[in-house]
Amino acid sequence: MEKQPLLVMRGICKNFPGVKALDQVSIEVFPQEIVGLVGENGAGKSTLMKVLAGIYQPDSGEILFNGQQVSIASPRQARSMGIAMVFQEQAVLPNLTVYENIFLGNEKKFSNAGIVNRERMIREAEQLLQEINMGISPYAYLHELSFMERQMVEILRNIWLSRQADVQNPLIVLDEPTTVLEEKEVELLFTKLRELKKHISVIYISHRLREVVELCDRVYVMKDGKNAACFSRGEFDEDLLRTKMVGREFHGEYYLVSEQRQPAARVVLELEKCTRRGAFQDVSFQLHEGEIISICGVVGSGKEELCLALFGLLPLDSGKIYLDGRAVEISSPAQAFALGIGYIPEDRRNDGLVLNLPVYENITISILYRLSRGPFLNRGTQLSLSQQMIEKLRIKTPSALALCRNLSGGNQQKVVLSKWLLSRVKVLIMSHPTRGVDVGAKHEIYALIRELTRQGMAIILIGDSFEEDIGLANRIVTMKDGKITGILDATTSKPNPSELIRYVV
Amino acid sequence: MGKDKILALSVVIFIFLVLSITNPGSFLSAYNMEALLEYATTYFVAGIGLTFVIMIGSIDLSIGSLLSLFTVLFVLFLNAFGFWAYPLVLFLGAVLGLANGIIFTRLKIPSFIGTFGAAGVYQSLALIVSRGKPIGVKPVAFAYLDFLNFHLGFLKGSHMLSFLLFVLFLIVQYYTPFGRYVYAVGNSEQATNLSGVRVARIKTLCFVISGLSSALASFILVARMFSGDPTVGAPYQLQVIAACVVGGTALTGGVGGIFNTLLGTFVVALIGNGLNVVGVDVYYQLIITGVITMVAVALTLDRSKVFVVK
Repeated sequence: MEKQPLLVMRGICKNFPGVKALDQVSIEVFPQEIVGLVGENGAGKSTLMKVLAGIYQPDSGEILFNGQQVSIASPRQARSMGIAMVFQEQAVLPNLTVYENIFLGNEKKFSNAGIVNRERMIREAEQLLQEINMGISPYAYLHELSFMERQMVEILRNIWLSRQADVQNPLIVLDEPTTVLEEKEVELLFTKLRELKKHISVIYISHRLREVVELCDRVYVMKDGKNAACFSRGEFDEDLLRTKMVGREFHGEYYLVSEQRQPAARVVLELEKCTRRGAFQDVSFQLHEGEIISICGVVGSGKEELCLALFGLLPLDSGKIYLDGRAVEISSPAQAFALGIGYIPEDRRNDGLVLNLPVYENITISILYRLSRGPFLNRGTQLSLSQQMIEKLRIKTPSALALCRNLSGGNQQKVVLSKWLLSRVKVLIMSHPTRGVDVGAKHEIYALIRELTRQGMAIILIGDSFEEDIGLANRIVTMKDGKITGILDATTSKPNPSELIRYVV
Repeated sequence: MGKDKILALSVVIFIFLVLSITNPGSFLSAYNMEALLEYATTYFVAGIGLTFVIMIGSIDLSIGSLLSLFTVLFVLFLNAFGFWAYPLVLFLGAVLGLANGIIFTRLKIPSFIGTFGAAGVYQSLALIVSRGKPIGVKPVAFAYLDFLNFHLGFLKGSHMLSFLLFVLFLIVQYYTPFGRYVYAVGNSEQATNLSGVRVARIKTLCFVISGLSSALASFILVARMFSGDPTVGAPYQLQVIAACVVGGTALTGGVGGIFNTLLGTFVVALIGNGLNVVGVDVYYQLIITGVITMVAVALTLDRSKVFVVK
């Protein structure tokens, strides 16, 4: 293939406070090519794509598009160049028709003296729809279409937009397009993508390695913000990709395995055939006092929804939850908390903390009634207790009165942790507790998690990487498509990441 | 003192000085000071509950109608049951506030429209109960209003009651879990909910306090007018909202408090009183209040919380 590449990203670096998100990453995409991009959660795929889409600016490195050096300042500019993203959260309006969606924001092209010529819009939409030949009517409302059909409408819109800008071969990024698709729809999507390949290029991001092998002409593997490997068609299979994604072997002391505790025999939490339609089915396991269970699975495996359900944020359709042997209903976070369950949400800044309140108010937010005598809150105790936590957890803050907004990610997470430490919950659900936290603070958080289990707290963990899951857990529950695929012991000997990944993809 | 209060305080001092210098005779007279306090106390007491409601990012548009309804009921009860009128109206204040709160939290209707709808109901009730006409307090019942009308210089009993309420709710705001949770809910309802706090209860309680403070404000109004009037409340709605937001309590929630409302009350009362003193027609006054309300909202709104203005 002696063609000139459509896109070259060369030596891209991007740092966030304390985290090297992208380190000298390079990729090339040729015209009429489907390129796969795979890697674990947090490997840097989405950061790289956000750089490409103009959402982030790279700290260094260069981007060439159609042979010309470009800097992409905004998603708007990216689109006008012919670079478009189609995310899982679709950017279409369900209450409008197909043709209205395709031309949304560009009605001027079809209007005379301010009056939109709908006939012309519909005719043009029909022509476009013929290219994919899926029998989608331009008059259909988007909410009547299947997920995959809506994806195609989004793709068509981007193709049309780039043609308007005289770009003959647009680049379309598909982010996990098949997560919610049925087998047949996946086949259809692939067929259509292969047809469209005549005049588009695709960057295809997916956790489903089998699909990547089937569809992609080439594939890039990313690991820890770096290029890990690049293969051409025929050179790679699922196993090879898996090995490259996981990369290094797991090493234990980073996760303080020597401090790992043998869980007590007492069962704190038990799930019995818990089901929520469309999210997870027949999930059963037991959680013991002082035990850490990691739930491993890719996006869409149902692990996030399971944790939300355990904290009363999503109702179960069927199944039972036992706490200390007693059957319980959990219908709200307040109720979960009253039962002794705590939750560390993934989105720390929006869900974990009240950013505009001081550190001490956040640390004590769950226990104000406990700190009250009669109707009155004991502000002295509130402050001194917070001060103790700040010292114990070494939270770096100018004072207990500083706003949480001004703390670094790691210290914010320590505030969240101290909130649950003080509230004496029996079960703590942690969703990505080290996301966006620098290496040193990560280590401190691991130490804290160990400390919590020594006090008898039972923990359900969704880690930020397989290594984290393996390193911290006593047992690992693997999930795929809403079902448990295995429960692995990790107390006596740690499983290998490449072994684990077999259960989840 | 937080920077949210500085602006309102400077405005209070500025207007006070301007009026003292330009119209020392009429403005600084004991008679005018009493009139000023009279307005300020009514706005303030009615605004106590609204402060908490706005602090959680909601609004109560039923205050005007509740004031009308409660003046009417209070007078009827005074004439019929004497002293028992106080607890009865306070009880009804709590009940109607609870109704507002439940409509908001259980039916999940935005407070803007829920309380607006409820306002229609309360206004109608006021008109039905009073048959559309003001009702006078019978002379035998005057005695029950004495403690509100008792004078100490230009200070009245009702002014002192307001001051006590100010202190009480300042304590509620700073030294009770409820008061702290109001700030937390206003800043991030999501994070507060995920900390295991019973957010719906906190939100409902804010509306209960708003009902109660409307009841309390109706006592002060009746003590001044010696009558209950089914239409007296309407103009108060805007004034009370103005008092809250001019004081620096942001409509987006989480910022402000009772002290802010006290300052805002004086801004609104001073502007109204000042316009009277300089002889501006009373019909023009709502223009000024309306405009300063909008300016205050624009200044205090936390734009990062508002994605789409609808």
